[in-house]
This record gives sequence, C-alpha cells and structure tokens, in this order.
Amino acid sequence: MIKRMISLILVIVLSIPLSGCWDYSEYDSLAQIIGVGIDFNPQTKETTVTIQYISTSKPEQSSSGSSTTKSLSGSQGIVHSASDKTVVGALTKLQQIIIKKFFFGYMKVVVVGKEAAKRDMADIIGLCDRTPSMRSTTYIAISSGKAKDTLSTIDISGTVSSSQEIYSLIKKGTGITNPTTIEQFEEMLTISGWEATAPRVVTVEKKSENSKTKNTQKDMDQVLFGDQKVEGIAVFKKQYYKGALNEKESFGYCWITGKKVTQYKTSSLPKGDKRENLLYFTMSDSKSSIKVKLEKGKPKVYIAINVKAELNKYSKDASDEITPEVIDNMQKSLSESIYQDVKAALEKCQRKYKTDVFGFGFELFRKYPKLWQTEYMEKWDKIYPKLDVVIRVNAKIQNTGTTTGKLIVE
Amino acid sequence: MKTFKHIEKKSNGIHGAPQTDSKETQNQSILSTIDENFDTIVSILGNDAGVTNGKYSISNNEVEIGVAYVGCMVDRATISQQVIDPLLNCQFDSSLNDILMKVQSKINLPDVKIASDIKQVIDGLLNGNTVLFIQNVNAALIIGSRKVEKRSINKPSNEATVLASLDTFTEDLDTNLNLIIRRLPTADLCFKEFIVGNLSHTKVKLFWIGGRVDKKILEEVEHRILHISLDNINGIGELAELIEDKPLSVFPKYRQTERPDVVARNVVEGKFAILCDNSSFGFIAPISLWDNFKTMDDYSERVLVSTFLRMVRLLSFFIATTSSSIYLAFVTYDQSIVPPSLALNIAMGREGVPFPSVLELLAMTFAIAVIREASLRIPGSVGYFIGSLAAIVLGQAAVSAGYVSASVIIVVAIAAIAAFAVSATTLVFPMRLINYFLILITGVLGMFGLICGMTILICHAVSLESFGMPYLYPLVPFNRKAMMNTFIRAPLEIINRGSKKAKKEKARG
Amino acid sequence: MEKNDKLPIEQIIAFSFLGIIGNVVYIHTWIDHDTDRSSWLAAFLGILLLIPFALWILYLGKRHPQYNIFDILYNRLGKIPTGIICILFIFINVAVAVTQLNMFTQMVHVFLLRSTPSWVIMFLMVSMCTWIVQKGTIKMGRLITVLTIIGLINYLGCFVFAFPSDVSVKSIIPIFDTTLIGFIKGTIFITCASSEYLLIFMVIVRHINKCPKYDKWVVGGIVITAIIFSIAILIIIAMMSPELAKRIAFGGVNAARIIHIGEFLQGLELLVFITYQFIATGKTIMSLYCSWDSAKIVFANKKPNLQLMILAFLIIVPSIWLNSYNVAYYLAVFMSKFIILPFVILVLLLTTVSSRIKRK
Repeated sequence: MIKRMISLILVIVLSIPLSGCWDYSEYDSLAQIIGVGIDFNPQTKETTVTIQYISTSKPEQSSSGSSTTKSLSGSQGIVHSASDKTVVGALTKLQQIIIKKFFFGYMKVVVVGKEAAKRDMADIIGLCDRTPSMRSTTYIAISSGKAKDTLSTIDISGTVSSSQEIYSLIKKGTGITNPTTIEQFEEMLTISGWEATAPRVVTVEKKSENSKTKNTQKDMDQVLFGDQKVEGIAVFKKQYYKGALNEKESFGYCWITGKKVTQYKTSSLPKGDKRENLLYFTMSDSKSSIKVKLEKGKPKVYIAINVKAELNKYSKDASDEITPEVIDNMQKSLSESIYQDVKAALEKCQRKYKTDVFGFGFELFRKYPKLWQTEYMEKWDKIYPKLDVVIRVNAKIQNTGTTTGKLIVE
Repeated sequence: MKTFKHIEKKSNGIHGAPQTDSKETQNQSILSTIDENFDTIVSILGNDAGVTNGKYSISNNEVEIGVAYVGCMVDRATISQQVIDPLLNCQFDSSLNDILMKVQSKINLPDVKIASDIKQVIDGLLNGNTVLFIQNVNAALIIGSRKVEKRSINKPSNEATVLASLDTFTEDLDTNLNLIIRRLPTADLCFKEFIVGNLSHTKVKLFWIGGRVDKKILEEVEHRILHISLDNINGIGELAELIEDKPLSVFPKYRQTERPDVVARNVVEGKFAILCDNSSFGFIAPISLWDNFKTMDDYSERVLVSTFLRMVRLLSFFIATTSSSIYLAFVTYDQSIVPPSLALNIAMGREGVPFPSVLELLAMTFAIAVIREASLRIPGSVGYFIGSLAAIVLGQAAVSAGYVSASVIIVVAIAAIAAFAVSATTLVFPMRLINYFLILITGVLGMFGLICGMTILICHAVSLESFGMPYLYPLVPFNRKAMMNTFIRAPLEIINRGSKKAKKEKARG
Repeated sequence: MEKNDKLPIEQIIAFSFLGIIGNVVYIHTWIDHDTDRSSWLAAFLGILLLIPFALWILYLGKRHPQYNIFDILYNRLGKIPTGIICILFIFINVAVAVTQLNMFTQMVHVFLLRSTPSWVIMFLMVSMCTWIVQKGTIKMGRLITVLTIIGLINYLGCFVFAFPSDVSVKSIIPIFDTTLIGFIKGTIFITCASSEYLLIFMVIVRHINKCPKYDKWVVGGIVITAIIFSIAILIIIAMMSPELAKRIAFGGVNAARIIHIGEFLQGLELLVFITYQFIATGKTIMSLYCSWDSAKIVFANKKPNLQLMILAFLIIVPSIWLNSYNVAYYLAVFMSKFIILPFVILVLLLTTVSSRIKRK
C-alpha cells in the first residue's frame, strides 16, 4: 500500500520536469548590468534611468572596421537611457528596448545625479535594498551634474567601461573620498546621530570633436570621451543632499573619521613664506579617536588624530642636516596643516550644512545610551552646530626617504 | 535487525547445497563389476565427455582394479606415479577382507575418500578426481588428482598502489587461500565452505577472525548463501548481489577487491570475507561508505601524507558527483555567485551554442561514458589512439564548431577524472549515476533542487545497512575511536589501541 | 522494536539544535525593537530558559520509562481527554510546519527561483519529508544529525570570511542600550519561540536513555544551541548594524549578501542558504513525526501510513493556501507569544497531576 502511494507521488513529482523549468535562464540571455545612473529633472519632474552593460557577443573579426567602432564594442559597455515618472517605470521602458533580461548581480556602481540626490535618495536606497537582485555591496557615487553624462563618458584609451572606472577609482581611493556601499549608506541613514556621505564623481569632457563617435548599435545617446574623477565627498542631511566638501575639507573628514589616508600632503606655511619652503609628505597611516564627554550638561567632543608620514621633499631655507629638532618642527607644521583641514571640514559641516556626518551623536549614544535616547536625540540638530570640538593632532614622521640631508645645489 | 530473514536450513549432501540435477540419480549405488560401473559412468556422462578408463590386475593378478578419470581435468603424472605404480608393485596378503583399506594404504596420496554411490563418483570425476573401482567391491575410492590451470600472479590492474604489496588474486581458490593464509597464519582464522550453484557447483569459502565478528552476522550470511538457488554463479559479483540487502540501491554495501592485503587488513579489523572459485576478487562485508576511500597505500605512507590523500579522495567523491550540477546551478539559475570576470568568459563561450546547458551537460557526460566503454574493449594499441582521438575531437573540434561550450567540457572532464580518483572500483559507476540524477534535478530547480537531491541521497545512505552495520557508521552512530581511521589516518598506535579495546570487549561479552 | 530504540548522544544534540532554531531564525527580528544591540544576549538567555522545561519533561519520562508524555496521558486519563489534547497537538505542529514551510518557500522565491510556483517547492519538500519520516525514528535521527553537522560547518565556514573587513565593533558595543524591561520582553519572546523544541521533546523522550550521562547531554544540547544561535545573531548584528538588522527578513542569508572575498567572490548567501534549507527540512520532518506519533496514539495504530499521508496533505494544503511570507511571520509570532508555551505548560501540568493522582 505504502509502496503504491509512494510510486504515485514519485510519478507526480517526476512529471514536474516535463512541464518546464520556470527559472531557467542561460548566460547569453542576460544583460550583465554594471552601472546604473539615476537622474531627476526638476522641470519635467521625470526620473531618467541610465544603464550600462557589457555586451557578450563574440568580437567581430573584421579587419577593416575603424578603430572607434571596434573600441566601442566589447568591454566598453553599452549605455541606454529612458525617462519616466518613477525609477521602475523607466526600467520597464528600458527592458522593452533591450532584448536581454536585466541582471543586476554584477552591478558595480550606482551613480545618482545631483538633483535626484536632493530629493529621492531614500527611495533609491530603499529600492536597492529591498530588491533581491540588486546587491547592497554596490558602491554609490553622487555625480556633480547628471548621472547620464557620467556614465556615457568613456576614457579615450578605450579599455574599460565608465562604471568599471568609477568603481576602481572609488575603491582604490586615489581621490580623497569615503567609499560607500549601499549598505553602508543605509546604515548611516538609519543610525541616529550619524549622517550620510557618499563619494562625488566629476566628469571632465575631452575638448575634442565627438561627431564621429556615434554608436552603431541600438544606442540612443551620444558617447562622450572624457575622464572620470572621484573628488570630494557629498554630504547629506537625513536623506537630502546638502552639498559637497572640496579637497581640503574631504581630507579633514577623513582625518576625523580615521579613514586610512595614503596620499600626498603638504605642510602649512606661515604667512609670507616662500613656496620652496613647503614640505611634501606621504601619509602612511592615520588613526583617530572621537570621544564625547558631557561637561556641565553640555557635550564636548575630543578628537585625537594620530598620523604617520614620510618626508618626500625638504624645504629650501631649513638647516642642512635633519636633526631631531628639525623633525619636531616638521611634525608641528604637518600637525598644523592637518588641523587646518579638520577645522575647514568642521566649519563647513557644522556651520554651513549643519549636518553631523562625523558621527558625534553616535559616539554620544555609545557612551550615554539612555541620555541620548531620552534627551539629546531630538535636540541634536540644535546642539550640533554649536558643539565645542577640541582637536589634538599628533603627527609622526617616521623617516625622510632615502636621504637624510638637504639637496645642496652648488 | 529487521533485514535478517530466518530461513530453514535445507538438508545437505556432503557438500551442503541442494542439488536438482537432471541426469544424476540419487539412489544409484556402485555395482560390483568394474565394467558395469564403467558403463554406468558412460551412460551418465556420455561417450564424448572424455572419460578415460583402464583396468589393472594387481597383487599377482589376484585383485582387479579399474581406474577412470576425465582426461582434461587430471594430472596424468600424478595418477601414474602415485596411484598406478605403487599398486602395481604392491603385494597384498591373500585375504581379501578390507581390500579397500589396503589399497588405500598403498596409494601415495593422502587425498583419498571412499564413495558409496554413483553420485559421489560422478561428482568426483567432474572435479578432476580419479575413481578407483575394485572388482566385487560395492564402493569406490576417489583420489584427488586435479590439474589446476591458473594464471600467474600479476600486478593489480584496477587497484594500483605505490608502496604496498602488488600481488592479486587469481581464479584458483587454492592460490587465493594461499595468499590469505600466508598473511594471517593464525589459528583464529576460521573458515566455512559452501557449494553454490546448481550447475556450477562453485566452491565458496567464508572466513573471519574468531571473536571479532558478531555471531548473528555470520549466521545471517550463512542463511543467505544457503538460500541461493541459481544455476550458475560466475563470480563474486553475482554472489554479492544475491546476498546483499537492498541490491537495488545505488550504493554498494560490500567491497570487492582483487588484492589479498586489503582482504587481510579488513578481516583483521573485524569484517568477514568471502572467496569464490573462478573469481579473482574477494568480497568483504560489512562496510560503511567511508571504507571505500581507504587504500593500502594509507598504511604504507606516513601519517600526514595519507591523511591528506584521504581528504583528496573524499573531496574527489564530492566533486565527481556534484561538480556538473553545481556548474549548472550557477550558470543557469543563480548567476550572482560566479565571479564577474569569469561570468563574462562563460557568457562569451556560450554565444552561438544551440543547446541549453542542461542538454550539453547530459550529452557530454554520456559521451564520456561511451568513450570509456569503447576504449575498454578496443584491442591493443588501437585503444590508446582512439582514446586520444576522441578526446581531441570532443575537446577541440566540438568547441570550435560551436556544438558545445568550452566550460562544459572542462566541468565534465573534471567530474570524470575525479570519479576515477576514488580508490574503490565498485563506487565509480554509482557516482556517475548519482551525477545524472543530480544534473536532472538541478536542471529543473536550480540550487534548491540540488540540495533536495543531496538530501534525498543522504537520506538513502543513512537508511542503508550493510549486514547490520549502518552505512555511515563512524559518522552517524558516532564512534570517536573509529573516526580516527575514517576521514583522517591517525597513527597506527591510536588505531590499534581502539581495536584492542574492541577485541577485549568482544571477548568479554 | 521502535519503542525501544535509544537515541545516541549526537542525535539528541542534533534534535535539540534543529528543534530550537526552527521558526526563530526568521522571527528573531521581532525582538530587535525591544533589545537593539543586546538581542544576541537575549537569545542566549532565552534559549537557556528552556532547560527547566526540558528537565521537567525528562523527569516525567523517568517516572514512566518507555513512555512519552502522550502515552502517560493515555494511560492515566483515558482515551477522550488524551484524544482532544493529541488533536490540539497535531494542529499546533501542523501550524508550525506551515509557517516554517511558507517562510522558507518565500525565501527560495526571493533569492533563487523567482518564477517557480510555490506549490512545486512545498510539494517537493513535504514529499521528501514524508518519505524520510516513514523510515522510522533511528534513521530519521541519523539524517538529522548529518544535516546538522553539514549545516553548521557550512554556516560558520561562510561567515568566517566576513571577519576582517565587514565586521565593525561599533555595532556591538555598547551592549545594553535598551531598558531592562525591553530586554526581558525579548528574552521571554525567544523562550516562547524556541519552545517548539519542547513539542518535539515531549514525543521523543521515550527514546532517551534514562541515565545521568544522557541527562547531561539533553541540557548540553540546549546550551550548545544557545551558544551557536547567539553567535550567529552577534555576527549578523556586527556585519549590518542593529538598525539595519531590525528590518531583515531572512536572517543570515541577508547578512551573507554583504560578504565578499576580494573582488572576485561574492554572493555567498547561496551557501548559507543550504543551511537554511536543512533547517527547514529538519523542522518539517520533526513536526510531521510528532503529529504522526500522536495521531498513532489517538487512532490506535490503524493504518499508520495512511495517517502519515493525511498529515502530509494537511500540511501542504494550508501552506499553498497561505502562500505569503508576512502572514506566516505574523502567524508564527502569534503562535509563539500565545499558544506554544502555554500549551506545553498545560500538558505538562496535566501529566504531572494525573501521574501523581494515580500513584496515590
């Protein structure tokens, strides 16, 4: 009896394959999307979605094709745009013109245009988070203009797509920036006392004629040649884009939050001093610790920054031999320079944008959880701009490169 | 133990198996005249069976004897030197009482039995013995004179090792027993002999180390062997199928090996073994799934090396069964786990291929099975050529022509090669079968289907028992001491410490 | 012979592991509002609070060896009261299985097979579990042990890769950022949610050897589960901060989406998914087994295989009808809060009282 039942079940179960595999999809039927750009047009109130994907067709073996058409296929990435009231509406429109099914699993970067960042950031993050096909390890970048232009810009040497380029630039940190994935951005959005930041991408167009670069395939947009530059940090308050920090302020942000900075740095100069007396350093390590203490009912922030550096260029008017006192002076002037950066960052974020991107509120919460939840959380917006911040910088010069003395020109 | 069936022992002849031959009649007795006996033999066996007979007068022509044998089975030198010569030269005293015993005492061979009916005579003749009739005596002597044609002992072809001994079994049971007893010359080695097969009368020997095997298991094995009622047992394979429980399962519940050292080692560990005439393989049971991954090299190599190699074999078992289905799941259902650069390569490789990945995989796996079958049977040097040709044709030309994608060939080749890395030959083809099953179920339901398939297999393996021992033994009914010799090969002291304890416990109770 | 099979130690541990973390892997987010950063501690303490109940059941089992709780009730109270309790028990088990199956099926839907109809997945799972349960207690126990071992190794192996880059201390310390009342609420909820194990334990107690060594391991199994589960929650919170962890639907699988090894390997949630499938399989097997066992008591062992089929049918049909993650989630929360633990306590009280009365 049981055997008959089981064989009946088996027959039913085995007939499932006969009815078809529902989710079967081959690789060549997928468009592997590597970059998405989201824009908002305040006049037409429409969202423009730009996608970039890599074509996987075998490269045509034509020897007579011009170099530009050849370089546009393959690894360059194909760009399409569409506009609609909502992001998913635009995606639907795009799916209607592209034969392959969208596959977001390999998405590298999401570029959000400035206008969209001012309004729709929470929606975009919510969409990326809830949709299982979009991974939350994708990097976010805020474009200085339109995301569509950013993604359509191709490096003239023509080997990598713009998404790949932005991704590599953000990840490697060649610019001073704060690499943020969607998941990290969301964390910063939801944690009280810590506002969100994202890297900023600036596109520089090449000043060349671009008439012969029209794409031969189903593309609807012009392809521009230019360079991507990851520079600066975009600053948010709640979910709205407020503004951007320039290079100096970005440095300051990185010092405060303890991001490991491995860049070049110059020391500060007292007023009236000559340009040749600037010292050049390479930073090798940086750490910071933020402590928030309540003094007389008012929170006070103590930032301690520890930096390690290496000397790359010595100043012209200093002494010939680099003695410990000279090292001491150099450390002092490096600390001064870092202090200036930090002050600039604090100035901008506290006074101008009034947004707590450094996480001071979060540190207060970590130290006094109950007080934060009962008292300070609501009042933080008012307290923060007037917050007293004590900065202490400790710069250490580990070595002076391969030589010790000054280069004396005879 | 549920699977043990109680079967009544059937009544035995001398050799202990029921026989229902058509030609032999049970009640025919030996007649007094030699000629009549010869006629009886010829009438039963036929004129052209090759029976040679001769009559002699011995002891000053007082006693007449008749000798018969089947010419192709006997060693004529033995007969003439050890049987005929001494009898011709002997002298009996005149009384003919106990002539049978007297004749027997003159023969130079100890292997002499007395037969009382024709059935034993015929049996003896067909086993290569010589039959000696005495005039006016209603009994016969059966003298052992068999000529054994056997292969010499070769190197193992299927279970090659590097550092262990290199002799194998042959088709002759006596040689095989020689190889075993040489390794275990101890009185604890117990034997039991059976004859199975109505027409083949195959001799089967069961042996074990006394005290190390559960009595119930031995009784059960005996019952099952006695219950066999097949006409012809060609070798250990058939015997194994008839006595194992759940023969329809995909996993083998016994170990079939051509190496005597493997048999000796397993018998020492507490398993029993069966050797069979005309078969150059030994049967070892009860085993667990992990016993299939042990080779004799493990004990000849050093600890770290053999532990690593055992891991390699276990891993290749896993690879051989699941690599095709994992590839299928990752490429068609769950593409997000594949690294992006690899994904591009796979996608470009698949451009223009007309078949879906499932079909490609199935077709390629089947093609490799066909190649293997073909290359086994193609004679001599042509075999190598055909093998390489097939590989090149499949690999290069099919990919360039766009029939299959290159990644599929890589995956299928890996699976095929990994299947042979496992040391047990009985497990190689079950692995390929499991491969097909998993490919099919993954093709329908992706990763979820693969894991369902693996759960079904694990459930099946867990419910198997090999003569009472659970199939996943040291892992699931967990036994710490036995685990020392399963996934790793702990130093021999630790392993033997375990077995000494087991021996003491068994001796106690 | 079935009644006399004794479970070895590793099977007891495996039963406790898979029994406790059935629905809790999905509904532990319910307590995150109350406990924030200390949810892992709440989970640890919550599961440990099961120990008194388990010992109570064990004590009852010792007084009546070879019986499980329902056998005792059947002996003492007679057919009808036991019948009512057994039918309630069957319904609770079926409900647990339905919620578990639904949440798991929707997880498969979200991450893996988007267009496959749910009934295919549910049907496959339930038929596989029916086949397994039909083989008997010992073989079922062996299978659950193997699944537990593989599931644990797999899960911890995947999350090892999270360590250097994705884990941040800021998400863990400070631990106590909530009120004590919130913490206690969270702990008690976890206890109620993991008392699904007591449902199973009531049935398998007759298969446990009644000697001190095995008692130790009953408690040991619960402690081991508490440790492993709280570590799992700790890792999830450390990887995504607790504010994000409040919103996740699928436990470790969500968290595993963040892991990446360099640039080339990502998407390890597929491997963590294996563990969740084993948990779902194990839980369904256990629910089916418990219902079957008590059905055999009520219907006096007539045609047990038919009873099994009917129970499987009873599980599949409501699952297919329900077919929603969120409703299943809320149903599981409701059951955990109000039904399971009170039912267990009621049954145990009844058993204790009835066993004492007859003794007098």
